Amino acid sequence: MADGLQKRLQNELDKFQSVQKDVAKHIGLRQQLEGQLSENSLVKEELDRLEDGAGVFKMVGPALIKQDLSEAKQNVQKRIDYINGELKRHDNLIKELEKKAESHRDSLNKLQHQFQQAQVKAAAKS
Amino acid sequence: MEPKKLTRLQEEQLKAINDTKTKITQLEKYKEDYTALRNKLKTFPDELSHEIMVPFGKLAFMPGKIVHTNEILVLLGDNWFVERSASQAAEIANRRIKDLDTKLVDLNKQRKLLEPRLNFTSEFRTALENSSEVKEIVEEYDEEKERLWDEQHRRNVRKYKAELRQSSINKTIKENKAEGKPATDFELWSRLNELEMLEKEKGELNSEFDGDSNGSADDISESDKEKILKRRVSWADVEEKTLQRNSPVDPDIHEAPTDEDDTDDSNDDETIRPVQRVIRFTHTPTPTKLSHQVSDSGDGRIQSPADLYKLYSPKSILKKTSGSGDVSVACVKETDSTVCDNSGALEPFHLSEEVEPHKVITESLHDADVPLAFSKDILPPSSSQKAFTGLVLEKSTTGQLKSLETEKHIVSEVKTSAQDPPKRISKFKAGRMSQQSH
Repeated sequence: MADGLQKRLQNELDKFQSVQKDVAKHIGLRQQLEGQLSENSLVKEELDRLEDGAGVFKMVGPALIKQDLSEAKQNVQKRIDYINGELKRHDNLIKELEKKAESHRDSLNKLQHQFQQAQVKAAAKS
Repeated sequence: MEPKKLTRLQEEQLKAINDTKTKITQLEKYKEDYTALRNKLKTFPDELSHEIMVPFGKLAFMPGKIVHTNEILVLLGDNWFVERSASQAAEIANRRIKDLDTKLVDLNKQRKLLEPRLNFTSEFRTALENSSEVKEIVEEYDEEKERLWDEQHRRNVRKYKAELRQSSINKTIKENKAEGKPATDFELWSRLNELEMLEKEKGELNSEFDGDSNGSADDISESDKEKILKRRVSWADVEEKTLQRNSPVDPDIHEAPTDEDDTDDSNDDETIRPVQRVIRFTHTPTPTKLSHQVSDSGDGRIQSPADLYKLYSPKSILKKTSGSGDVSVACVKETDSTVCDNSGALEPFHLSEEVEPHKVITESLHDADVPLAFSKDILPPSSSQKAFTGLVLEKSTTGQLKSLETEKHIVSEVKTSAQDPPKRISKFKAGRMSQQSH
């Protein structure tokens, strides 16, 4: 009985830890996305300040490729939107994972209680 | 608090502070770089070409020149470059410096928040360790207990508030007694409201009254009311007490419980009349079916929710103060001179649901223009012995029991005594008895 409990406890613990890892990973991704978002918004600001005709270049690998200003602006805007979407998706994922983690935590607690009680009983018996 | 936990807390706080500090230093470095860059950019247009030592790999330099100093490719971020002149680039640099400044300010604020926390924990710790005078007060937190306590607390608060209300009502009664005649109608009516509430509460509190003990209670509350009313009203030789049990009542029908505003009101009005009034009435045999008729399904078959009401007559959930089926309105109206003209042949009263008994009373009384100053004169001579004769039409949407309640209403008014609370019989018994009578 105690062994069974222990096994279950171990299982729950593993699951909980894996879920937590996922949560952490997604949070990291999200932060990265946030950084990219702020960067891109800065770029957009600067591009807006540019007067027409100024040279805009995109670095593709080792080369700088000239871009049209309006095109560049559009590209940056699209990128910003894309990042926003990704951010939301990540947010949702994180929420779900956190909920899972909560449930795991709860079950872990319960199992721990039971385990302790079982131990106490065993100790009382012996 | 154990020292281990305290150390742990200190560690965490320290870590947070250190993080903030590193960020601050980093940003400050960036800021320095940018300012240097900006200065350099400003000097570029000074000369056609600058001589510099060009870095070669990691460890070597070579003398060289910077030409075309006005063409500067600025990295905006995310692999986007833009060609700018030196002054424009300097502007970009300025903007970046400004951003950094704001970030630095935020970080400093954060650090200032965190540092006192650390200080406090350390002080706490040293105080604990050193002086024996400083004792730690530990309150154990058990969620279950907290929840129970919370519920108990809420109950206590409710009780307390009820008591407060009660005491405030009592206080106002005493105050009014001391004050004397209140001037306005409005005050009178508010006074009446208070009294009704008071009686309601008394009625609710005294839930185990028998018929006999009821009488005494009635008398007391009635006399209270009368006393209070007496101050404002000039009763002629009113024999209120005699009216209490004189009017013939249908023996099968018993009075409804006290919590009816209309009964109190109507009872008041009844007691006002100096002449004994007899109210006779008959009921329409069955609850009349009104617009709530639905398609009549076969006997016993339920096809729509409305059919339920035909089969099982549930107890009405409406408060008895609601207007529907409230016959009390009719009786009270009798005091109004206009209505009493029909004393001879009264058509069955169709009581509109909108008419609230209380409102009616108000109106009628206001018409009279002397609040509660009823004398024999107001009451029309035509309705000498019969206050209300006629057919009481009962609106019942919920079937038999509803008619039962209206019966109770009527009966309670018929009893010209303002019995508060009147004879108490459980509704079920009353229902059974009335059903027997029918």
